[in-house]
Amino acid sequence: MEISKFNNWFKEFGWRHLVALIFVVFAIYPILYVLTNSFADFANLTNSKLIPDSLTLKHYKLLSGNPLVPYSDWLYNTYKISIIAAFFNVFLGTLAAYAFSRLQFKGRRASLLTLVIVQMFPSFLAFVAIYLLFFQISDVIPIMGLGTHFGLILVYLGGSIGFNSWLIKGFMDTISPSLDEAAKVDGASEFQIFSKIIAPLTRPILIVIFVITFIGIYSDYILAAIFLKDKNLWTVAVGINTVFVDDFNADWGVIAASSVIAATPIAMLFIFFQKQITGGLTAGSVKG
Amino acid sequence: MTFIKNVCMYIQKGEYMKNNKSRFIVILLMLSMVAVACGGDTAEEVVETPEVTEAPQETLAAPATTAPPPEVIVVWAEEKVATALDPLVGAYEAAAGVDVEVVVYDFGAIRTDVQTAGPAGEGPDVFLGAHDWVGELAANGVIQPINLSSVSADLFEVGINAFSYDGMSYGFPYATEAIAMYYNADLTDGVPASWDDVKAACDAAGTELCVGAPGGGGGADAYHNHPFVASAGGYVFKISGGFDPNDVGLDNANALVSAEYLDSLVKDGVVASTDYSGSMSAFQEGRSLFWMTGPWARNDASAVNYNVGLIPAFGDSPATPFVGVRGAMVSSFSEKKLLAESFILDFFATVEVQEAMYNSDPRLPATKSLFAIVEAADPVAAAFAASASNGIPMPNIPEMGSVWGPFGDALLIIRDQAYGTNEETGVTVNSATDAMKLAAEQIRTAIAGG
Amino acid sequence: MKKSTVFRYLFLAIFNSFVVYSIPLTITFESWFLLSLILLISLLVNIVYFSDRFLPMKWILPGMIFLISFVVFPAVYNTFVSFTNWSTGHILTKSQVVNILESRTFTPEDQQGIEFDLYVFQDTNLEFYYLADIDDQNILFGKAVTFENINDSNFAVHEPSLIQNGDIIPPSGFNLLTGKDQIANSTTLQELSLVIDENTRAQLFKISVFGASTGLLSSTSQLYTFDESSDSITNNSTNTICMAEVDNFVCDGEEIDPGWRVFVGFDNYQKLFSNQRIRGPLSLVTKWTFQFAFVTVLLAFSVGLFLSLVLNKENLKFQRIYRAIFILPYAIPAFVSVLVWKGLLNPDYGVINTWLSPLYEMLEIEPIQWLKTKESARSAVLLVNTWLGFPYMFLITTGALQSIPKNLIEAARVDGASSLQTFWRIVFPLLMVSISPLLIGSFAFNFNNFTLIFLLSGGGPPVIGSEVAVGWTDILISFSYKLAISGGRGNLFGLASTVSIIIFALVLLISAISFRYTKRLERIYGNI
Repeated sequence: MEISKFNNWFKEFGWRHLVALIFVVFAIYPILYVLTNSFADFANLTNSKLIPDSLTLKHYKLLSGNPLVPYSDWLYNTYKISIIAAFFNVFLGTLAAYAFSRLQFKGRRASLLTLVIVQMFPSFLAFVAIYLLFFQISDVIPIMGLGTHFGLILVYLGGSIGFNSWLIKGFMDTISPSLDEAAKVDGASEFQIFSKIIAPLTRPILIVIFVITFIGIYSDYILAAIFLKDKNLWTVAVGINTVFVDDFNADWGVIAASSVIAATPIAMLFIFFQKQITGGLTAGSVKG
Repeated sequence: MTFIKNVCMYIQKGEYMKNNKSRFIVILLMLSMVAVACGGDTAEEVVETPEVTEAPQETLAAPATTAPPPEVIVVWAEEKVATALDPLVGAYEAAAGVDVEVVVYDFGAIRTDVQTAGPAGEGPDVFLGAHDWVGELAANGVIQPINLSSVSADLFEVGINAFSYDGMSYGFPYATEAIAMYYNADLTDGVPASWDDVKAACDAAGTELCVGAPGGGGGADAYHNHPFVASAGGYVFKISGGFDPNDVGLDNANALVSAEYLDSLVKDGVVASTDYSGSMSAFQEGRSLFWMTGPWARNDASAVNYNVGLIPAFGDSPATPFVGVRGAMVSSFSEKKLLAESFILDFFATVEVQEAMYNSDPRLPATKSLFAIVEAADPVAAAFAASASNGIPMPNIPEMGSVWGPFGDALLIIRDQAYGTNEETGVTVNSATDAMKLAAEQIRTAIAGG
Repeated sequence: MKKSTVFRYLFLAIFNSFVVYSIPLTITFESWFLLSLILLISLLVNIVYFSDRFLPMKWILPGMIFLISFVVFPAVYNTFVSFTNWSTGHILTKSQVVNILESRTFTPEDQQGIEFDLYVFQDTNLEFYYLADIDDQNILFGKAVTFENINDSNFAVHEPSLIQNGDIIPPSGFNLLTGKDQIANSTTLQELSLVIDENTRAQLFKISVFGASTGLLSSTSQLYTFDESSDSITNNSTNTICMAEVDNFVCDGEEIDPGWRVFVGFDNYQKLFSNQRIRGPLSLVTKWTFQFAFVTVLLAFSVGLFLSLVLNKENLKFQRIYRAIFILPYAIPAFVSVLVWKGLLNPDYGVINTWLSPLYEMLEIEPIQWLKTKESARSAVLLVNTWLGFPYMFLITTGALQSIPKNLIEAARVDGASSLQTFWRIVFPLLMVSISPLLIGSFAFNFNNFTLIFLLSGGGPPVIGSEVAVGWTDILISFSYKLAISGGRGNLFGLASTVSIIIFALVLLISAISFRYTKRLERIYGNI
């Protein structure tokens, strides 16, 4: 009896745990090095030993109490910029997706394709072009010029439509049109249908896109480095790269500590958001 | 306010909605009014702006009652230097009546950004950079020659040479660096004088690896391996006045002998196949006896009880590492070149500033006065300085861009013993000689414009 | 009138007043990029929101504005550069070059290195006068003049009375400027010189706030004089005329730096396709780029999808923890994790070879020399990129799985389909409808995944005996980067931009083919 019970459990759940555990090792093993090195006296991410010889908290201390390293400011800036930019990314992407999913117009597919394909242009000089453009913006509209978070956020919105919209559109397509027709009969405006019915039902994918965009912006170095010149306005990526990385050597202990500090909230956030992603859709709202 | 009220009432009545055309016209009118209301003042200010800036000249006739705003010098500096400068600029600002704005920059980004920002009129007046950028920056016309004569007596020759290009000086050198040889002081007493004796030293110490040097293990690094080819007569570019891009000496007889000697060192297990991080962890964990790298790694090396000596000589020839020099340069797009140059020569070059910078980022001093202070206090720094004194500056001409790739690859092939035949081109590289010859050929073709 | 209409017009009014406000400013600052961008955007906004005809555009335009500004504009700029000679020595405009050359001075050889204290006076009219203390016989005083007035100026006169016992005695009516005063006037002073004789002038080169300022001698003529009518510069120290040839002034066959930017038409394209040395490696690199991008997407997607399916099970314990762990590789900065992977892959002490050593012993083979051989380096690149890429795919598929109607799956089950059958016949095709564009995007991204290659292998190991330096793991973008920075004399931005256009053309081609396939999918499974 016991054995067959186990067999049933294994068939249903057990093998899933087994597979998951294997990939947990795959996913987490390299990260363990980052974690242990953040406590290592002489950190070197390519050590042969996972557990360092002498442990210390000095890297974390450097990031928490050094007036020359305003790390908490950087962390705050990073979150502020990433959250705002990711939110508007999702918002603008959803607006566009609504048009592609719900409004009938000629060249719908072609225009969506164009938006997607344009994003694939490997601009070798993109950063130069953006830098030059923002010199001019700085003169004319200083509040969104170089050195401002505002300008940086605007640049991050460049990728808001395209792939995101396609993904959201695909999701919206699976929501039954009968819902919006019913609302229309009740006299709802287009925007009301969008904001009260379609957008909430698309929530799982919106959150996925939010998380992806958030992480992307969160780890961006190049654009942020072009923009932010004031030490107190830096993001974590800019601060760490500017202060702790040099031609040949880098302070890997501090970098590891910073990576741990920065990655933990992302993992937390994701645990928190999961219900929203996989919580399932309202019954009957999906066409079938 | 009443204006806006009226507009709003008008909209609410909706009278203009009767046909599209009139609606459009009304809206346009409304817009221009709003635009005038909102934008008018500021637009006028803009027109006035030039007058404001020219105003001081007009007021010159009258006794100057209000002081003009202080001149601003914008300095782009890497983080550690900026940290050192910050507390000191105050004194200069007070004495000179200027504002010094130090912008903290990622060191590598300075090189690209001065070339974008300068021509667009947004660049710095003074910036810090490495001497090997000079050729490129000068050819592009973004840096200004400066006259070092008033400070040259205090500068080491190598620093002045490093910043000379096309017969002119382009920067005030403030720090130099060159690689030397770290050794594990718990396991050996020093670095042998000649490479011939290195194997014996390692055998005596019994470490797993002997010399860890970057440039193997799949990671090309011509910089660290320069002494292996260039100590006994080989060279990247012939030095005659400046570096001569048309005379590449990586495959001259001496260079080939040196390369073959490196090959034998690798085969004997003296020089291990390691990249930078590999050589670092090997030294930190006591798996290698020696580590060939520069003064930036002192903190990392202190995982063991280390000391530093000269890189062993090749026969009678002392090892010639590449010397890197950092300096302060003036942008040719600065509108205050006189002020910028004065800032460098009158403030930046002073020994107090130099010492503060050394304390914040201990690279080797480029001034004799500071070196005298440092030498006595820090024997390790003195060892690195001794190594640098045998070295040559990295070529600063733009053609160097064509060298790093082929040169690094050739040395990587030797270091990793990755010889073989290319089936497509039919070219065989079976020895260090072949590798160096091919690299020199690739460099020559690239420079010739192929 | 509806509230939304009021809102719309209010918005447009604010928007347009903002445009009207900024246009004169852009003109004042000569910001032509910005001006054209603002004009384009305001045109689009006004057309779309004034009329009722472009309903869909009303939804799309907000995002499109940013797309145009920060994606399309850089792409256009890039295309523009590919038709120029932009490279080291040619990054400025011609007028900038002329300005720089004309600002150069020279000092005849016998006067080089002569350096002296220089004092600055100001008279009651606030005109500047210099006193140059060159030596006892030459204590020269005179009015400091701008370059244009050099020929009209009187020569400086010897005035030993102005220096007595080392103290400066200003003539009556003159004011001696301190270092601080000089600095306050430095932008004026840097244009002034004291004319000593027909050929020589003294200029201030260092203002000292702690001591006396310093002057230098130079020729009264500038080093180069530009003549617009003959489009040439004259070198006044050697008296040679240097004609402007294409993108440089050329003196006696020697190009003068800096040169300037010009249009070169299709030169860069021609250079790329006709150069035999580049062509050989190019085909090798192109082939690997395709393999790399394709296999990488395939692996990351398979792993991601597999894991999301495994975890997509109600009542599975630790589900949330698993999911959080699976996105961790995505949350660690790549430059950190790639370095860790380099350590793990180290053939001598890395964990991977330690774990594989029983396998090596069993098969009696040498341990793999990771990153040192072609095959191992390529496998390593793929392995690490899978690790970096699967969390993204995992996230996307987890989200997209939620949109698959459960009743469809149940219906299939009722019809007796196995779970594998249900997956392949229903779940997977439906998933592909919404996900395939992202796979194409991911392909395009990896096609240009410079960061990974640069950090992990640097393109190496080198291809032995090739015509130009190239490595086995170099992809098109890293190869073109190498070409761009090693272009004989520094950087070749024009050529690099050309490569990126060609890469885009390739990506376009692949996308066209793939989107054709997804269209078929949509027709079968989608609702278009």
